[in-house]
Amino acid sequence: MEATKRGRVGTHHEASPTKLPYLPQEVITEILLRSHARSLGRFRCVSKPFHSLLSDPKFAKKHLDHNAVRLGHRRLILPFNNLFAVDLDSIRDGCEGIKDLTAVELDYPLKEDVDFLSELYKKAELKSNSDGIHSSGKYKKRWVRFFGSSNGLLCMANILLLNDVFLYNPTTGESKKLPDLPESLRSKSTKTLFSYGFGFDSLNNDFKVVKFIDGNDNYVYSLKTDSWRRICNMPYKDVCFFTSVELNGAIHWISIPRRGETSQKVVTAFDLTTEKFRVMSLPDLAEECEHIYPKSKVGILKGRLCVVYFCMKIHDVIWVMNEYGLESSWSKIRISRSYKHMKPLCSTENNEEVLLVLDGHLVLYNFERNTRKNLKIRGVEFDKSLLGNTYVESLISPNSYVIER
Amino acid sequence: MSSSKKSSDGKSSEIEEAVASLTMPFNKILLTSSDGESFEIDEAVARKFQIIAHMIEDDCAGKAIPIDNVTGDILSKIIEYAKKHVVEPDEDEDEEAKKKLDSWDAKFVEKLDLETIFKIILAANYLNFEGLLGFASQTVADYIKDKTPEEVREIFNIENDFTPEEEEAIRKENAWTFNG
Repeated sequence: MEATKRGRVGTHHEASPTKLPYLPQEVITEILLRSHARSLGRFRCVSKPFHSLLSDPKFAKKHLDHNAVRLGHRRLILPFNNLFAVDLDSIRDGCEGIKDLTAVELDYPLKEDVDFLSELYKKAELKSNSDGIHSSGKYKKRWVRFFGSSNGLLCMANILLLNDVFLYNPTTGESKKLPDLPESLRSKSTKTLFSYGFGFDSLNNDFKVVKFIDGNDNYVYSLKTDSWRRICNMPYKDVCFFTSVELNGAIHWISIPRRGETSQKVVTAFDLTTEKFRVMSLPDLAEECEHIYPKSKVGILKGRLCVVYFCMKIHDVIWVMNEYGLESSWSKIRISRSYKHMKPLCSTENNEEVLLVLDGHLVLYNFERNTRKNLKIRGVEFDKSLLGNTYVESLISPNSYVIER
Repeated sequence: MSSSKKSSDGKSSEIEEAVASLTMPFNKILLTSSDGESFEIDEAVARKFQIIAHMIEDDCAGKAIPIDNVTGDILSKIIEYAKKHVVEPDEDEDEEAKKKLDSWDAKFVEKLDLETIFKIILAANYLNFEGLLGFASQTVADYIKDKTPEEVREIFNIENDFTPEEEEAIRKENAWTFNG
């Protein structure tokens, strides 16, 4: 149909189907709310009213709320040389009958930085050995770090230059660079090691990024106000975590206590609404590990907080907090395939299987039957450095995020 | 079948209703379509249509209710769906039942053409039958998933009020939607 053909389908149009009944606007809106984000982006040019509706942040939020839990709207993002997105649709039925997954390359901020980084590494390599060009390829694989995925947005940064933090919507490709910490808030600390966390404050409908520099210099960024402010002190010193997860409206990570107290690690939870900290004790991780103070990371398994080992040795246990907040509810799950590195990503629709990244493979693991299946992605070969995150396809725009309550 | 009397005391009319429903467990309601077809259905099924549920609450549901906006063929489909969904199985408690119902729903729409689905949506909207409206809307959403903007205009009878340049600009902005 040409753009010149306006209005209704006339009876003179040859292969025209019977004209369909008119649907009132509120009904069309209900249909659009249930459509895929990518389809909606395409429909923005249908008409001016469509464009207005499908660019409205309020509609984007309603659309997200409608679809957030449905598997067909969730995708996997894999940083590996480039960013790849994989539809999780095809694993809907679990282990049986899975075809190879297909990945799509994404457009994202920091794409140009790849070359800048490889140059850096090349120079460093050339100093130590002569095989510079060949080995810089290794480092290209994971130069982007994701700090969280929430409500359709991801928080990411360049792994070396952690000062440039972006909020990114992989569906629309839109991104927003966070403003720098203003001079007035900047600490006198010369520390350069900091950690980020990202999540959604559902009470205030606000996306927040937390930045921890030390036990004393902690900040939160709010997308609604597009500004940073200081938050209360952390109960722990030397906060340096690379992995955090969002659960029940709080960001969780594993902390090291201040010196002088026991070295027993804990899980710290930062509530995104109240902006207060809470601490939960961990089970005795040494039970299943050679090390007295094993390295570990948090994760989410089937909607529950979990802890996986991360200390260069092989483990076959995952700890799961069966009842959130109840320290006595930590329990062990043994898996039939032991791991050095493992990260649970998401559960399938039937909730039996869980997709994991395990030592560089994408594995669909069935916890009821202890069976597993390695998934392949057409055209892409991963290696041990593989990491992944899931996200919900959405129209949420980090640059025009204003939602009235 | 006596209609319940309007009572100044809300509580005693509730009791009256409760007693009435004990003695007449299968209260029937008659719906008449715009083209004169009649359907006798259980009150429980009729209550799925909020518009009728309100009439029953407000005591203005006589024995026969005319549904002026809906033809017999569409009304019969809607009643068929409502009968199946009188009791919605709880996903957590009865997974089997939910799966069976989902499968029935899928077969139900499979046989229908788009025009019929649109008519069902309009009728469900008029009758305020949320469950069917949501389900039929999802069906259409799935149908238009890979359609072009032109096809969407045809389907919803929408006039393109953009100039070719404006449209081109928007397509460029949303180039991401035309990949993968």
